[in-house]
Amino acid sequence: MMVLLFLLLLISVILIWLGKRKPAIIVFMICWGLGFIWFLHHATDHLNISL
Amino acid sequence: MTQAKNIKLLFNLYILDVIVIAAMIVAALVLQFALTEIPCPLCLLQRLGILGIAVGFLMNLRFGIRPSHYALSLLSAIFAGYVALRQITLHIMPGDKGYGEALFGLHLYTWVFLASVAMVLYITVLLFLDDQFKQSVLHQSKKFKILIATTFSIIVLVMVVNIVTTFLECGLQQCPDNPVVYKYLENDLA
Repeated sequence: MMVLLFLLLLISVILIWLGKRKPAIIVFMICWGLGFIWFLHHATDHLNISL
Repeated sequence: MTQAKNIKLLFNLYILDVIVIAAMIVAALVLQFALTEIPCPLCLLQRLGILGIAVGFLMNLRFGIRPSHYALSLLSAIFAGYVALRQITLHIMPGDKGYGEALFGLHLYTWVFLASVAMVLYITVLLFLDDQFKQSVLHQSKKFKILIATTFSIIVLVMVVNIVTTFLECGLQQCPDNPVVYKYLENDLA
């Protein structure tokens, strides 16, 4: 899972380098969306802690 | 100073920012192997947030300065700070020694929190400079283009190394909460 997030961020940076602005932002946002969902899971269900 | 000079100064600042961010991740990687400290999932998420801050600066370098690019960096800084704050609260009870070794008296996640807050303040200050959005694209010399390409290369290299070390630690699965061994290293460094 964490490898996937880093991979998406890397793809986003490579897209920026290649001059593809919108695809880079979309990939970046997917990365953040997944990261945030994972974080919420880790913070709540996984550790059984109420936020 | 003319506006072009101000923009050039800002572009140089972005390059410096990206290099500082890359240096932070390299420092974390050095500590990971020198002190044999395997990063926890929250530590990795903080690395992701710190690397994400560089994305906004890189977009400014490549496409010209826009508020939306700063927004991406701000989002990342807030995310990294939030995750770091959560990890601080996990170890806030008296007697808890925290996760990993302390560096200059503070744990790495506390440093990440301070760095994230500093980055939010820094980007906020940058956003105050209204003139940058009037002439946001710099007519770059060949030398400057090489400098920007080098900056991109450095951050890509750091990201690739980070992906490899994360893969060695966790594989494609969920990372363990308190990792003590690398999943794919035969002679464990831990």
